[in-house]
Formats: sequence, C-alpha cells, structure tokens
Amino acid sequence: MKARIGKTVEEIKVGDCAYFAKTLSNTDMLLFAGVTGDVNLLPINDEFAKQTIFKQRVAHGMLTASFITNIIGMRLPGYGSTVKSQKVKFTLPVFIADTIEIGLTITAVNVAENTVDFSVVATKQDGKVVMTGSGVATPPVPLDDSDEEQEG
Amino acid sequence: MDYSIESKIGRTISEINIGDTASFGKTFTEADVYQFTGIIGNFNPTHLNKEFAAKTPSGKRTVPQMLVAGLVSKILGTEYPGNGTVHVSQELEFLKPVFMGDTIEATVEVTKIDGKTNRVWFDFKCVNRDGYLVLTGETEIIPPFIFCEEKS
Repeated sequence: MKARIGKTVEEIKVGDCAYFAKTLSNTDMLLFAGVTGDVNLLPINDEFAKQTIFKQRVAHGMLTASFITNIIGMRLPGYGSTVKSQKVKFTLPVFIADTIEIGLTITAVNVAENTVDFSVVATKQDGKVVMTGSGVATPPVPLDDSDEEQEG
Repeated sequence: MDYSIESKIGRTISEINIGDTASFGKTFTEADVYQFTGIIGNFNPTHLNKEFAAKTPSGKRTVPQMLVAGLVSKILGTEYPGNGTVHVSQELEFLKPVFMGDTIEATVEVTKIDGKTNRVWFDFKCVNRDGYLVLTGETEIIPPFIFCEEKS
C-alpha cells in the first residue's frame, strides 16, 4: 500500500492558503481540559465564569491555537508535516458555540531548508478577529520506502 | 457551597513576583495523542499511523506539538497563577520530537510584570527524560482579577 503525503516544499507557493472552520462545543472544551490537564475554572465552570469580566465561559486559548495544526497536518502542507515554531496573539475571547474559521497563508518558501513560513488569522462568525499569528512548518519529505518490496 | 470568585481565584498580579517558577511533568501516552487529535481533527499520520511514521525522518509516531504545549497552559491555568488566567499571546519553538511514552517536564518562569495593564510574561521550557529541550517559548497572560461591576 502506498501511503500518501501532503505537499512537499517544491509543490508549495507563496500565497497558497487553506481554511478550517469549526463550531466550538462544550465537549471540545471539556475534552481539551481533560487531555491537557488545564482545568482552569474560567473555561469549565459557569458559576466562576459569570463573576468574571467575560460573564461566561471562555475557551482555552490553546484550543483555538491548536486548530492551526489541523490545517498544517491535514491540508497545507498536509500529511507528514511538522510545526517548527508558532507565534499567536489572542485578540478576543472565544465562547461556546462560536464558529471559528482559521485561514492559513504561506508567506515564504525555503526549499534549501525544507521549511515554509505561514501566517494565520482566526475569525468568529461575526467576522471579528479572535487570533492572529505566524510560524514556520516543515513540509513532508517523500517516505523512505527502502524496506518495502519494489512494486512491479 | 461557596461559589464566590474570591475563594476560587488564582494569584492576582500583586501575588506574582519576577523569578517565580512552577513546573508540571507528564508521561504522554497513546490515549492522550488519540484524544487530542480527535478534538482538533488533526489526523496527520505522523501522530496516528505507525507504518507511515516508520518511513518518516522521526521513525516513530510523534506526540502532537500543541499537546506538549498544553503542559504550559495547564500550569498557567491551574497552578500559577491559576483559576481565571487568560492567555494573551504565545510564542513556541519546537526543538525535538516527543514520542509516546516520553515524560516531559514543563517549567515556567515569570520574566516581566506590568501592573498598569495587568499583564504578566513568562518564559517556559519543556525537557524530556534525557534532559534535552523539546520546546521553549514565552507567553503573555492576564492574571486573575476581581471584576467589580459598576452599579447603575
């Protein structure tokens, strides 16, 4: 079976972009709290959150930031990619039932180093920006199939 | 039960000092990786497919980098400063892959405090069992504060 990889550095151009959008549910927030151990009451406790300036539970910033890796791992560059560095700024709080759309744009391609630079913007359903950022990703390299028998 | 925010809140800015540190360590398992990739929808085979991962430069399935970064979120949200902390920005640099079964120790250190804007900056690092740095970065947060509503 031949495994599929994402785009290699040669196949990526400056200006290429990809999107991912998701409606954030209570389940996402609770599972995220559980798997990271970040049980800060602000995202998970209604009574606590009501007494804060936000008046309601706020999603973990790192949950929103993690959706960037969905684009990198699944779409651009895709399967086999890794992130080298990432810088994000959270500009507005994200609440339960908000639909977040993240757009990622390639800003530089470095074939010699096998890296691409990207910028990201995340917006809510009302068009307001909730997160901006940038980073460097390593696109996949062709898989090492040397152990496998040659196909005829 | 006491639901008042005063009894639950983490450290406010006056209780935070430059040079203070906090740590948390965790062994990452397959269960963590599968749950996290499910929430994010990042089914990059480098995390989930043994056969695929064997043909990549890392040779083994890796732990999603944002899951490792979640350790920092856990410390800030639950230990130091604790409940009510809000993320403002974060810079991450991933230096080495983390594999299932690896135990990673994260440490954060207060580097800057701005009482006027109620912001605190931390440097953080994550180290594996062999003492290698796997992740470094810095983060800016709003520490918990008591929000007094203006009575009209």
